[in-house]
Amino acid sequence: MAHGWRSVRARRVAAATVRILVATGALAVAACGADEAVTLRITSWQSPEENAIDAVEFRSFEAAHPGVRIVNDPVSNSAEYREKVLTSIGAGTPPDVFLLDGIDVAAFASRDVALDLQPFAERVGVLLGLFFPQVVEPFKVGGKLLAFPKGFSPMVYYYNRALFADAGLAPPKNGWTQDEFLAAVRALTRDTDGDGVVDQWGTVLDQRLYAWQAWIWSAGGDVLTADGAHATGAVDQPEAERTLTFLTDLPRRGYAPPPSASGGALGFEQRLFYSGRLGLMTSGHWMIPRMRRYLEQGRVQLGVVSVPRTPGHQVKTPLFASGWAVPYNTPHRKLAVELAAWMVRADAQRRRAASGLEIPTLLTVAYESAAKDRTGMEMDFLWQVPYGGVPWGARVAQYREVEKAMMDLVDRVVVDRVSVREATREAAAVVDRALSR
Amino acid sequence: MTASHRRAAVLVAVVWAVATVGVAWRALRGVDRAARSHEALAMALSSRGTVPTPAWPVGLGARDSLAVRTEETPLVVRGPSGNVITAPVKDADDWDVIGAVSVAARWRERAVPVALPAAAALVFAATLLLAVPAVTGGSAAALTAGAATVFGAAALTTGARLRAAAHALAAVGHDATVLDRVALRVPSLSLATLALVLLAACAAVAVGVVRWHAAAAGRPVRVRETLNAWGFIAPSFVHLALFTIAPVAFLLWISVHDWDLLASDRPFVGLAHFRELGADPLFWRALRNGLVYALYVPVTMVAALAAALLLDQPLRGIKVLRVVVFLPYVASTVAVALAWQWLLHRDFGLLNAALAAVHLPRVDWLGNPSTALPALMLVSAWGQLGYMMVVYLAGLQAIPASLVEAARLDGADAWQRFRFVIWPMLRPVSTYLLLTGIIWSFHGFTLVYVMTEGGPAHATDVLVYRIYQTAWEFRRFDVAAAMSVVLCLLLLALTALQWRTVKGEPADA
Repeated sequence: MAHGWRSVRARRVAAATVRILVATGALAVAACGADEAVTLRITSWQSPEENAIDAVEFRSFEAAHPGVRIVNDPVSNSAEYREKVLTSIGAGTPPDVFLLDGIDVAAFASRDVALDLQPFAERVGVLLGLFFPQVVEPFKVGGKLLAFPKGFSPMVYYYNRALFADAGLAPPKNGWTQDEFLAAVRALTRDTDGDGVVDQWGTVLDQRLYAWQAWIWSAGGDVLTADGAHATGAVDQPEAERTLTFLTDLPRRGYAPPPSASGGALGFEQRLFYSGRLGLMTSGHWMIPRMRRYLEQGRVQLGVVSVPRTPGHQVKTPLFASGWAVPYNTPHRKLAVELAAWMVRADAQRRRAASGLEIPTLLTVAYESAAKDRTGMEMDFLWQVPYGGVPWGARVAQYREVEKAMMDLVDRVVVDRVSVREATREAAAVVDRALSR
Repeated sequence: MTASHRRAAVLVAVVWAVATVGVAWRALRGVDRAARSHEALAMALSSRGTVPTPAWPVGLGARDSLAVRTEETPLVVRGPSGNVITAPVKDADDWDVIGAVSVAARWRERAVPVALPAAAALVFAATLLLAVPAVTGGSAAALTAGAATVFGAAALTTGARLRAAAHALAAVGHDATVLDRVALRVPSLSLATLALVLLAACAAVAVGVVRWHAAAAGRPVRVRETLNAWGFIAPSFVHLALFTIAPVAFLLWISVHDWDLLASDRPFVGLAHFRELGADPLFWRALRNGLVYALYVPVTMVAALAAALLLDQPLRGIKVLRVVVFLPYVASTVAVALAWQWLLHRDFGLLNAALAAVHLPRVDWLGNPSTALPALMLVSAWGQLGYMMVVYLAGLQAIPASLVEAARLDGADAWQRFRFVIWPMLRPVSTYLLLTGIIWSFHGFTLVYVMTEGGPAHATDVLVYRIYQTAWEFRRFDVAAAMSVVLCLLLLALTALQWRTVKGEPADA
């Protein structure tokens, strides 16, 4: 009896063991099978609206590449985005494709973490000769191409046509000068309700470097020396100091409201502009989607014009571009490069151009898009391209520190009331220290 | 040896076995993935139809043969010993697969150095197993644990073989070709090795504790109680060590090294980053701003105490009023910051509209360096008022009514009752609110980040915002770590002050 019981128990144990083994085997097979599809991870700092546009491209890529799935993994904060991408590459878990900001090219190049796309460009159908050369340039470092550029924008001035007409001013023309600009902002600054307080300004002073870099360039100066090694010898030179004096005098003379604490990042100046209380505002193409509603409703009539130059000098404006890059250690190199190329092909650029986000980097698509534009602004944007320059961020790895020091420079003059000369000396010293590291 | 001790020993062995199998399974999956990635690339090679170049077979044994098939079947490169792996060779641009190389991984030559930690774990585990039967009577659980350890060691050895083969492949080079860097990557098993060793050590400690406990009956009560207390504390201590002490230690380490996210070279620089901070006027400015900003805490406390005294009355609707005062504290700080940004705006703000209505000049609250920090303090005070009021209310309601009543009977007026009865009784609450409030004020970040970004002209630049900017915008994690150390020391000093103050409180307070 006892023997029989033991035998039954042994059979039960054996059956249970077999069941466990079968279940384990099935789990293992399922786990192995789950790895068959290739998943490509793509990341950017783009807004939900931009991601919705890109989702169309992802689906078409998946359709053209059976067995490939694309997961979009955006990061909302652009400062943290860069570090997250660098960290994931360093940790060996990189995204397969990531959006590279033109002003971060040097920071990524200094760490050698982005794949050189130059050798693969033609194989994946990216013919660089069809792109604006000024926009490909920021992504080239030491003979390598670190991204396929997808879109860009020069810095320009938007102007309110209605306010210009009310002030009896003719619309400004590309290539206009600082004197013409000053005359315009003087005429545009008004106390409309007669209460002794200015409630319509000619322009606004944005302290951030990207907003006034074009002014310095168009006056023949710069913020860094040609080799990008120092600020001393550039930002403290007469051309730069004269222009900075001109700019920082605007709020002092009442032609611009006092700059806001966050350098315009909060968008109050844009609200002044939309509500017809600002004649001129510097920005890029990225403002168009936000303004489109007001334009279509006829609540605001806008034009675009180049940043004013100093007589004797040519217009020069930074071209801010972004492009799709591939980490050197992606586990799916070929597919990743193909996806990066897919995202810059003509159809993808047309879709983004239709949303007004940016200027396409393909010449034909850019002009095709400008031809459809009824506001006339697109042609004025394209006018700037031959005068475009590479932003310092594409050449200097410590650009964010340069940017911050330059913003402090303007704050020191406007807020702390120190002289331009003293402020430029201080900023130059801070930047020199940062660049020497 | 009681039944409960046996059960504990079995539990230890089972947990050990499960954990070891888990670690080993993960290691094997990593190895398997690497091997399958080789096969997938080799498949790509075969499906391309190019003639593979089985050049440079390295380390093939005499009995190994290389069989490369280019038909539809996957490329299989295998020797009789089953330990040959292959890797694709690409063109000089690292793009198209143009051939393959294979290599045999020899256990004795290459795997032994990497397998040593695994062998050590195994020996350790075997020694441990000798102790377990004494407790469990040679239970099946102990055997399972032993088998799991062998399995783990086998997993590590497999990985070691693949790694050794990959290293051998990496030595193969040619001007016109490159080896696929990704295919050559074999998952690191050092963590798995470490986990196995730690598991074995933990199991040894656990078994030791069980055995010790089994023999504990003869020990003094005090020793037993102490050990029991440590047993209860142990989980919290492990949590504290992992999630507080270890990060702080890492922070200290970063602060004395030149530390970059991707740099492999991180030299020791001593106190260089601290010296840099000492010479940085913006750091001192941020520190000073932080001290000034902290002044909102005592001001808020006064307002909160007044509110608590007012709302500590048995009136109708008093609870609604308390909720209203408390609401800002539970509101999202970002939402609060955005709302106040509008309220304080120079042109569109409600506050300036009110000033304009009574013909007073508009104030650029957030754009003027002399008003920006006070404006942030105002918003912080508004947000914290409700919390402090609730704490004071709790303090007030804890004061025995008989004390106040006795003072009243003694002829004390309202002020005297507050001055000599209520306030002394509230002193511990006030000390707590003051010091925790100041500590939290030094952590203030969101308002600065959303409302001013440290401006204008660094007027609202506080230490935590500066740490964020230095680390994330300027990518100087080492300097940011040094700032964090300074902040940490500052807060430690405040905490020490709090302890001393609380210890110095009169016993009846």
